[in-house]
Amino acid sequence: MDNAGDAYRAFAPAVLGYLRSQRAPDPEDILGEVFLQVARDWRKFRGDDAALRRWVFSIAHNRLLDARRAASRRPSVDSSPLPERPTAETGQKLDPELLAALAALTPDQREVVVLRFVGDLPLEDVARITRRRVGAVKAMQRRALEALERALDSG
Amino acid sequence: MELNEHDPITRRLHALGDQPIDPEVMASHRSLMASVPVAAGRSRLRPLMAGSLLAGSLLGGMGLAAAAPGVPDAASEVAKTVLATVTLGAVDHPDHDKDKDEEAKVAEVDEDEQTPEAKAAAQAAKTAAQAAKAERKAAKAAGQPAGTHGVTRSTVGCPAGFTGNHGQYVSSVAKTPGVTEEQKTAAAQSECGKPVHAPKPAGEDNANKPATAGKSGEEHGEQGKAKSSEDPGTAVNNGQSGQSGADHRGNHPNRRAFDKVAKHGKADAGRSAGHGPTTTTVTE
Repeated sequence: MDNAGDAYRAFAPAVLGYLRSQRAPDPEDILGEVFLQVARDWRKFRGDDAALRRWVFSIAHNRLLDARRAASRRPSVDSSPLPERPTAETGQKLDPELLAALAALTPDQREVVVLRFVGDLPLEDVARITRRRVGAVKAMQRRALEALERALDSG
Repeated sequence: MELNEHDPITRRLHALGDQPIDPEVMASHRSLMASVPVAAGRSRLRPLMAGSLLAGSLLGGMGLAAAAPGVPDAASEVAKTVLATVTLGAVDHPDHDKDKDEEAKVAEVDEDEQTPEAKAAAQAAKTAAQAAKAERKAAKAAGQPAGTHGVTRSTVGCPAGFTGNHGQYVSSVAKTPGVTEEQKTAAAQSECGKPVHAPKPAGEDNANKPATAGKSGEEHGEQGKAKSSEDPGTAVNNGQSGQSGADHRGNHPNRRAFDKVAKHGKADAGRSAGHGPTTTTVTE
Protein backbone atom coordinates (compact mmCIF):
# COMPACT_ATOMS: atom_id res chain seq x y z
CA MET A 1 0.00 0.00 0.00
CA ASP A 2 1.34 3.36 -0.98
CA ASN A 3 -0.66 5.76 1.10
CA ALA A 4 -3.25 6.14 3.83
CA GLY A 5 -6.04 6.24 1.26
CA ASP A 6 -5.20 2.71 0.17
CA ALA A 7 -5.22 1.60 3.78
CA TYR A 8 -8.62 3.16 4.23
CA ARG A 9 -10.01 1.35 1.25
CA ALA A 10 -8.59 -1.94 2.46
CA PHE A 11 -9.33 -1.83 6.17
CA ALA A 12 -12.06 0.71 6.81
CA PRO A 13 -15.00 -1.74 6.39
CA ALA A 14 -13.43 -4.23 8.78
CA VAL A 15 -12.63 -1.51 11.30
CA LEU A 16 -16.19 -0.21 11.08
CA GLY A 17 -17.53 -3.75 11.56
CA TYR A 18 -15.26 -4.17 14.57
CA LEU A 19 -16.51 -0.89 16.06
CA ARG A 20 -20.15 -1.74 15.44
CA SER A 21 -19.75 -5.22 16.87
CA GLN A 22 -18.19 -3.72 19.95
CA ARG A 23 -21.17 -1.38 20.23
CA ALA A 24 -19.04 1.71 19.98
CA PRO A 25 -20.88 4.96 20.83
CA ASP A 26 -20.44 6.55 17.41
CA PRO A 27 -18.63 4.14 15.10
CA GLU A 28 -18.37 6.39 12.05
CA ASP A 29 -16.78 9.17 14.08
CA ILE A 30 -14.31 6.79 15.67
CA LEU A 31 -13.51 5.36 12.24
CA GLY A 32 -12.66 8.87 11.06
CA GLU A 33 -10.39 9.41 14.07
CA VAL A 34 -8.64 6.10 13.46
CA PHE A 35 -7.77 6.89 9.88
CA LEU A 36 -6.91 10.46 10.72
CA GLN A 37 -4.15 9.10 12.90
CA VAL A 38 -3.19 6.60 10.24
CA ALA A 39 -2.82 9.42 7.73
CA ARG A 40 -0.85 11.56 10.19
CA ASP A 41 1.59 8.82 11.13
CA TRP A 42 1.72 7.07 7.79
CA ARG A 43 5.32 8.00 7.08
CA LYS A 44 6.45 6.68 10.43
CA PHE A 45 5.05 3.23 9.77
CA ARG A 46 7.40 0.46 8.71
CA GLY A 47 6.14 -3.06 7.96
CA ASP A 48 4.18 -5.31 5.69
CA ASP A 49 0.43 -5.59 5.18
CA ALA A 50 -0.04 -7.84 8.18
CA ALA A 51 1.78 -5.34 10.38
CA LEU A 52 -0.29 -2.55 8.87
CA ARG A 53 -3.51 -4.38 9.69
CA ARG A 54 -2.34 -4.95 13.25
CA TRP A 55 -1.33 -1.28 13.55
CA VAL A 56 -4.70 -0.04 12.26
CA PHE A 57 -6.64 -2.28 14.62
CA SER A 58 -4.42 -1.27 17.51
CA ILE A 59 -5.36 2.33 16.84
CA ALA A 60 -9.02 1.37 16.55
CA HIS A 61 -8.85 -0.55 19.84
CA ASN A 62 -7.32 2.43 21.63
CA ARG A 63 -9.77 4.93 20.14
CA LEU A 64 -12.64 2.68 21.19
CA LEU A 65 -11.34 2.62 24.77
CA ASP A 66 -11.04 6.42 24.70
CA ALA A 67 -14.58 6.78 23.39
CA ARG A 68 -15.96 4.48 26.06
CA ARG A 69 -14.07 6.35 28.73
CA ALA A 70 -15.42 9.64 27.46
CA ALA A 71 -18.97 8.25 27.21
CA SER A 72 -18.79 6.96 30.77
CA ARG A 73 -17.94 10.46 32.00
CA ARG A 74 -21.03 12.08 30.52
CA PRO A 75 -24.62 10.96 31.14
CA SER A 76 -26.24 9.04 28.32
CA VAL A 77 -29.93 8.87 27.50
CA ASP A 78 -29.58 6.68 24.43
CA SER A 79 -30.94 3.24 25.23
CA SER A 80 -31.26 1.89 21.71
CA PRO A 81 -30.67 -1.87 21.80
CA LEU A 82 -28.47 -2.59 18.80
CA PRO A 83 -27.29 -0.69 15.75
CA GLU A 84 -29.24 -1.62 12.65
CA ARG A 85 -27.85 0.80 10.17
CA PRO A 86 -28.77 0.07 6.56
CA THR A 87 -25.98 0.46 4.10
CA ALA A 88 -26.52 2.90 1.31
CA GLU A 89 -25.40 0.64 -1.52
CA THR A 90 -27.10 -2.61 -0.84
CA GLY A 91 -29.75 -1.69 1.65
CA GLN A 92 -28.74 -4.75 3.62
CA LYS A 93 -29.11 -4.77 7.39
CA LEU A 94 -26.48 -5.90 9.80
CA ASP A 95 -26.93 -9.34 11.29
CA PRO A 96 -29.12 -8.48 14.28
CA GLU A 97 -29.14 -12.00 15.71
CA LEU A 98 -25.38 -12.21 15.64
CA LEU A 99 -25.05 -8.75 17.16
CA ALA A 100 -27.44 -9.74 19.94
CA ALA A 101 -25.44 -12.88 20.58
CA LEU A 102 -22.22 -10.84 20.68
CA ALA A 103 -23.81 -8.47 23.15
CA ALA A 104 -24.46 -11.41 25.46
CA LEU A 105 -20.75 -12.29 25.64
CA THR A 106 -18.42 -10.92 28.26
CA PRO A 107 -16.51 -7.83 27.09
CA ASP A 108 -13.22 -9.76 27.00
CA GLN A 109 -14.72 -12.61 24.96
CA ARG A 110 -16.40 -10.21 22.59
CA GLU A 111 -13.22 -8.26 22.08
CA VAL A 112 -11.23 -11.35 21.27
CA VAL A 113 -13.72 -12.87 18.92
CA VAL A 114 -14.41 -9.63 17.06
CA LEU A 115 -10.74 -8.86 16.56
CA ARG A 116 -10.10 -12.43 15.51
CA PHE A 117 -12.91 -12.85 12.98
CA VAL A 118 -14.27 -9.41 12.10
CA GLY A 119 -10.82 -7.85 12.04
CA ASP A 120 -9.37 -11.04 10.57
CA LEU A 121 -6.31 -10.91 12.77
CA PRO A 122 -4.20 -13.91 13.78
CA LEU A 123 -4.17 -15.09 17.37
CA GLU A 124 -0.75 -13.56 17.98
CA ASP A 125 -1.86 -10.11 16.88
CA VAL A 126 -5.02 -10.33 18.97
CA ALA A 127 -2.86 -11.27 21.93
CA ARG A 128 -0.60 -8.30 21.33
CA ILE A 129 -3.46 -5.82 20.96
CA THR A 130 -5.34 -7.04 23.99
CA ARG A 131 -2.12 -7.59 25.95
CA ARG A 132 -2.83 -11.19 26.75
CA ARG A 133 -0.99 -14.42 26.21
CA VAL A 134 -1.78 -16.35 23.06
CA GLY A 135 -3.02 -19.33 25.04
CA ALA A 136 -5.40 -17.15 26.99
CA VAL A 137 -6.70 -15.61 23.79
CA LYS A 138 -7.21 -19.03 22.25
CA ALA A 139 -9.17 -20.28 25.26
CA MET A 140 -11.23 -17.12 25.32
CA GLN A 141 -11.99 -17.46 21.64
CA ARG A 142 -13.19 -21.05 22.09
CA ARG A 143 -15.49 -20.13 24.93
CA ALA A 144 -16.80 -17.15 22.98
CA LEU A 145 -17.63 -19.24 19.93
CA GLU A 146 -19.39 -21.83 22.08
CA ALA A 147 -21.43 -19.11 23.73
CA LEU A 148 -22.32 -17.62 20.37
CA GLU A 149 -23.38 -21.01 19.04
CA ARG A 150 -25.61 -21.58 22.04
CA ALA A 151 -27.11 -18.14 21.74
CA LEU A 152 -27.79 -18.47 18.02
CA ASP A 153 -29.19 -21.97 18.36
CA SER A 154 -31.53 -20.93 21.11
CA GLY A 155 -32.60 -17.83 19.20
CA MET B 1 -12.93 -28.15 19.46
CA GLU B 2 -11.87 -27.07 16.01
CA LEU B 3 -12.79 -23.86 14.30
CA ASN B 4 -14.39 -25.82 11.51
CA GLU B 5 -17.20 -26.68 13.85
CA HIS B 6 -18.01 -22.97 14.03
CA ASP B 7 -17.65 -22.15 10.36
CA PRO B 8 -21.16 -20.75 10.00
CA ILE B 9 -20.58 -18.39 12.94
CA THR B 10 -17.15 -17.30 11.78
CA ARG B 11 -18.50 -16.62 8.33
CA ARG B 12 -21.21 -14.45 9.76
CA LEU B 13 -18.61 -12.68 11.87
CA HIS B 14 -16.44 -12.08 8.80
CA ALA B 15 -19.47 -10.67 7.04
CA LEU B 16 -19.76 -8.00 9.74
CA GLY B 17 -16.40 -6.67 8.57
CA ASP B 18 -17.33 -6.63 4.93
CA GLN B 19 -20.19 -4.18 5.08
CA PRO B 20 -19.70 -1.26 2.71
CA ILE B 21 -19.33 2.22 4.16
CA ASP B 22 -21.72 5.04 3.42
CA PRO B 23 -20.19 7.04 0.53
CA GLU B 24 -20.86 10.33 2.30
CA VAL B 25 -19.08 9.12 5.41
CA MET B 26 -16.26 7.77 3.29
CA ALA B 27 -15.90 11.08 1.41
CA SER B 28 -15.78 13.07 4.62
CA HIS B 29 -13.15 10.72 6.05
CA ARG B 30 -11.04 10.94 2.93
CA SER B 31 -11.18 14.72 2.86
CA LEU B 32 -10.25 14.75 6.53
CA MET B 33 -7.29 12.48 5.90
CA ALA B 34 -6.14 14.59 2.97
CA SER B 35 -6.18 17.76 5.07
CA VAL B 36 -3.99 16.55 7.94
CA PRO B 37 -0.31 17.44 7.87
CA VAL B 38 1.74 14.33 7.48
CA ALA B 39 4.30 13.74 10.20
CA ALA B 40 7.86 13.54 9.07
CA GLY B 41 9.13 10.03 8.88
CA ARG B 42 12.30 8.72 10.39
CA SER B 43 15.17 10.31 8.59
CA ARG B 44 18.11 8.10 7.86
CA LEU B 45 20.23 11.24 7.71
CA ARG B 46 19.72 11.95 11.39
CA PRO B 47 22.33 9.49 12.73
CA LEU B 48 24.71 10.61 10.01
CA MET B 49 24.29 14.26 11.00
CA ALA B 50 24.79 13.48 14.69
CA GLY B 51 27.94 11.54 13.91
CA SER B 52 29.27 14.36 11.75
CA LEU B 53 28.63 16.88 14.51
CA LEU B 54 30.43 14.77 17.09
CA ALA B 55 33.39 14.15 14.81
CA GLY B 56 33.59 17.85 13.96
CA SER B 57 33.64 18.97 17.57
CA LEU B 58 36.29 16.38 18.42
CA LEU B 59 38.46 17.42 15.52
CA GLY B 60 38.00 21.09 16.34
CA GLY B 61 39.00 20.57 19.96
CA MET B 62 42.05 18.59 18.96
CA GLY B 63 43.04 21.27 16.47
CA LEU B 64 42.84 24.03 19.05
CA ALA B 65 44.86 22.02 21.52
CA ALA B 66 47.50 21.35 18.88
CA ALA B 67 47.66 25.00 17.87
CA ALA B 68 48.19 26.36 21.41
CA PRO B 69 52.00 25.82 21.59
CA GLY B 70 52.39 27.47 18.21
CA VAL B 71 51.11 30.88 19.29
CA PRO B 72 53.77 33.55 18.57
CA ASP B 73 55.69 35.04 21.46
CA ALA B 74 54.34 38.52 20.75
CA ALA B 75 50.76 37.30 21.12
CA SER B 76 51.66 35.50 24.32
CA GLU B 77 53.20 38.70 25.70
CA VAL B 78 50.10 40.71 24.87
CA ALA B 79 47.87 38.19 26.58
CA LYS B 80 50.13 38.13 29.61
CA THR B 81 50.13 41.93 29.89
CA VAL B 82 46.39 42.16 29.56
CA LEU B 83 45.83 39.53 32.20
CA ALA B 84 48.28 41.15 34.58
CA THR B 85 46.62 44.53 34.09
CA VAL B 86 43.24 43.12 34.81
CA THR B 87 44.48 41.41 37.95
CA LEU B 88 46.18 44.53 39.34
CA GLY B 89 43.16 46.65 38.47
CA ALA B 90 40.97 44.39 40.46
CA VAL B 91 43.28 44.69 43.47
CA ASP B 92 43.38 48.48 43.26
CA HIS B 93 39.66 48.95 42.85
CA PRO B 94 38.40 51.42 45.49
CA ASP B 95 35.42 49.28 46.41
CA HIS B 96 37.74 46.51 47.43
CA ASP B 97 39.82 48.81 49.60
CA LYS B 98 36.97 50.29 51.54
CA ASP B 99 37.36 48.17 54.64
CA LYS B 100 40.99 47.26 54.38
CA ASP B 101 44.10 48.78 55.86
CA GLU B 102 47.11 49.76 53.82
CA GLU B 103 48.97 46.66 54.93
CA ALA B 104 46.26 44.41 53.58
CA LYS B 105 46.48 46.11 50.20
CA VAL B 106 50.23 45.79 50.12
CA ALA B 107 50.03 42.14 51.04
CA GLU B 108 47.91 41.35 47.99
CA VAL B 109 50.68 42.27 45.59
CA ASP B 110 52.81 39.33 44.67
CA GLU B 111 56.20 39.91 46.15
CA ASP B 112 58.03 37.78 43.65
CA GLU B 113 57.17 40.11 40.81
CA GLN B 114 58.12 43.38 42.60
CA THR B 115 61.10 45.46 41.70
CA PRO B 116 63.38 46.64 44.53
CA GLU B 117 61.81 50.11 44.30
CA ALA B 118 58.36 48.67 44.57
CA LYS B 119 59.40 46.55 47.51
CA ALA B 120 60.81 49.59 49.27
CA ALA B 121 57.64 51.56 48.59
CA ALA B 122 55.53 48.70 49.89
CA GLN B 123 57.63 48.50 53.03
CA ALA B 124 57.28 52.25 53.53
CA ALA B 125 53.53 52.07 53.11
CA LYS B 126 53.38 49.21 55.56
CA THR B 127 55.37 51.14 58.13
CA ALA B 128 53.21 54.21 57.61
CA ALA B 129 50.07 52.17 58.05
CA GLN B 130 51.36 50.65 61.27
CA ALA B 131 52.31 54.09 62.55
CA ALA B 132 48.89 55.47 61.69
CA LYS B 133 47.25 52.58 63.48
CA ALA B 134 49.34 53.11 66.60
CA GLU B 135 48.59 56.81 66.47
CA ARG B 136 44.86 56.15 66.27
CA LYS B 137 45.09 53.84 69.29
CA ALA B 138 47.00 56.42 71.32
CA ALA B 139 44.54 59.16 70.43
CA LYS B 140 41.67 56.96 71.41
CA ALA B 141 43.26 56.12 74.74
CA ALA B 142 44.05 59.77 75.52
CA GLY B 143 40.67 61.18 74.57
CA GLN B 144 38.54 58.65 76.30
CA PRO B 145 39.96 57.06 79.46
CA ALA B 146 38.79 53.66 80.55
CA GLY B 147 35.67 53.75 82.65
CA THR B 148 34.64 57.28 81.68
CA HIS B 149 32.48 56.26 78.73
CA GLY B 150 32.81 59.74 77.27
CA VAL B 151 31.30 61.51 80.31
CA THR B 152 32.95 64.60 81.75
CA ARG B 153 33.65 63.93 85.41
CA SER B 154 34.45 66.11 88.32
CA THR B 155 38.01 66.11 89.65
CA VAL B 156 37.19 67.99 92.84
CA GLY B 157 38.70 66.13 95.78
CA CYS B 158 40.45 63.61 93.55
CA PRO B 159 44.09 62.68 93.94
CA ALA B 160 46.35 64.03 91.25
CA GLY B 161 46.05 62.22 87.93
CA PHE B 162 42.85 60.31 88.78
CA THR B 163 40.53 60.02 85.77
CA GLY B 164 38.10 57.29 86.80
CA ASN B 165 34.53 57.50 87.95
CA HIS B 166 33.23 57.99 91.48
CA GLY B 167 32.92 54.29 92.19
CA GLN B 168 36.46 53.66 91.18
CA TYR B 169 37.60 56.48 93.41
CA VAL B 170 35.68 55.19 96.42
CA SER B 171 36.91 51.69 95.77
CA SER B 172 40.50 52.84 95.54
CA VAL B 173 40.16 54.70 98.84
CA ALA B 174 38.58 51.69 100.52
CA LYS B 175 41.39 49.46 99.34
CA THR B 176 44.06 51.75 100.66
CA PRO B 177 45.75 50.08 103.65
CA GLY B 178 45.04 51.73 106.98
CA VAL B 179 42.11 53.83 105.82
CA THR B 180 39.53 54.76 108.43
CA GLU B 181 35.77 54.68 108.21
CA GLU B 182 35.64 58.45 108.23
CA GLN B 183 37.93 58.59 105.26
CA LYS B 184 35.77 56.08 103.43
CA THR B 185 32.65 58.09 104.18
CA ALA B 186 34.31 61.28 103.08
CA ALA B 187 35.38 59.63 99.84
CA ALA B 188 31.87 58.39 99.26
CA GLN B 189 30.44 61.84 99.83
CA SER B 190 32.99 63.66 97.73
CA GLU B 191 32.36 64.85 94.18
CA CYS B 192 35.37 63.05 92.75
CA GLY B 193 34.51 61.12 89.60
CA LYS B 194 30.89 62.16 89.53
CA PRO B 195 29.50 63.30 86.21
CA VAL B 196 29.45 67.04 85.67
CA HIS B 197 26.18 68.36 84.21
CA ALA B 198 25.92 71.71 82.49
CA PRO B 199 23.26 73.96 84.04
CA LYS B 200 20.05 73.98 81.99
CA PRO B 201 18.32 77.24 81.14
CA ALA B 202 14.83 77.74 82.45
CA GLY B 203 12.03 76.30 80.27
CA GLU B 204 14.40 74.13 78.28
CA ASP B 205 12.45 70.99 79.09
CA ASN B 206 9.27 72.22 77.45
CA ALA B 207 11.04 73.84 74.55
CA ASN B 208 12.94 70.66 73.71
CA LYS B 209 9.99 68.36 74.05
CA PRO B 210 9.17 66.64 70.79
CA ALA B 211 5.94 67.62 69.11
CA THR B 212 4.66 64.08 69.33
CA ALA B 213 4.10 64.44 73.05
CA GLY B 214 1.49 67.14 72.58
CA LYS B 215 0.09 65.33 69.65
CA SER B 216 -0.33 62.28 71.79
CA GLY B 217 -2.40 64.24 74.25
CA GLU B 218 -4.48 65.66 71.44
CA GLU B 219 -5.04 62.30 69.83
CA HIS B 220 -6.22 60.78 73.05
CA GLY B 221 -8.21 63.81 74.06
CA GLU B 222 -11.70 62.48 73.82
CA GLN B 223 -10.80 59.13 75.28
CA GLY B 224 -8.95 60.82 78.09
CA LYS B 225 -11.92 63.05 78.80
CA ALA B 226 -14.18 60.04 79.26
CA LYS B 227 -11.67 58.38 81.51
CA SER B 228 -11.06 61.52 83.49
CA SER B 229 -14.72 61.64 84.55
CA GLU B 230 -14.26 58.30 86.23
CA ASP B 231 -10.64 58.38 87.29
CA PRO B 232 -8.96 61.57 86.29
CA GLY B 233 -5.85 60.85 88.24
CA THR B 234 -5.13 57.74 86.25
CA ALA B 235 -5.77 59.56 83.01
CA VAL B 236 -3.32 62.31 83.87
CA ASN B 237 -0.66 59.92 85.05
CA ASN B 238 -0.95 57.85 81.90
CA GLY B 239 -0.55 60.87 79.70
CA GLN B 240 -4.05 60.51 78.38
CA SER B 241 -5.82 63.44 79.99
CA GLY B 242 -8.10 64.59 77.29
CA GLN B 243 -8.86 68.06 78.57
CA SER B 244 -5.35 69.03 79.43
CA GLY B 245 -3.98 67.37 76.30
CA ALA B 246 -6.44 69.25 74.13
CA ASP B 247 -5.90 72.56 75.87
CA HIS B 248 -2.11 72.48 75.92
CA ARG B 249 -1.03 71.34 72.52
CA GLY B 250 2.62 70.55 72.13
CA ASN B 251 3.15 69.59 75.79
CA HIS B 252 2.97 66.27 77.49
CA PRO B 253 0.20 66.00 80.10
CA ASN B 254 2.54 64.60 82.73
CA ARG B 255 4.78 67.58 82.25
CA ARG B 256 1.77 69.81 82.78
CA ALA B 257 1.02 68.17 86.10
CA PHE B 258 4.58 68.59 87.33
CA ASP B 259 4.67 72.20 86.18
CA LYS B 260 1.51 72.83 88.08
CA VAL B 261 3.04 71.38 91.22
CA ALA B 262 5.93 73.76 90.84
CA LYS B 263 3.71 76.82 90.35
CA HIS B 264 0.72 76.32 92.55
CA GLY B 265 1.85 73.98 95.23
CA LYS B 266 0.97 70.44 96.13
CA ALA B 267 -2.68 71.02 96.91
CA ASP B 268 -3.48 72.45 93.49
CA ALA B 269 -1.46 69.79 91.76
CA GLY B 270 -3.28 67.07 93.61
CA ARG B 271 -6.60 68.53 92.55
CA SER B 272 -5.55 68.85 88.95
CA ALA B 273 -3.77 65.57 88.60
CA GLY B 274 -6.02 63.31 90.54
CA HIS B 275 -8.93 64.84 92.34
CA GLY B 276 -9.71 68.23 90.91
CA PRO B 277 -11.90 69.31 88.04
CA THR B 278 -10.73 68.21 84.62
CA THR B 279 -11.21 71.57 82.99
CA THR B 280 -8.33 73.30 84.71
CA THR B 281 -5.96 75.13 82.45
CA VAL B 282 -2.40 76.07 83.05
CA THR B 283 -0.99 79.37 82.04
CA GLU B 284 2.66 79.62 81.36
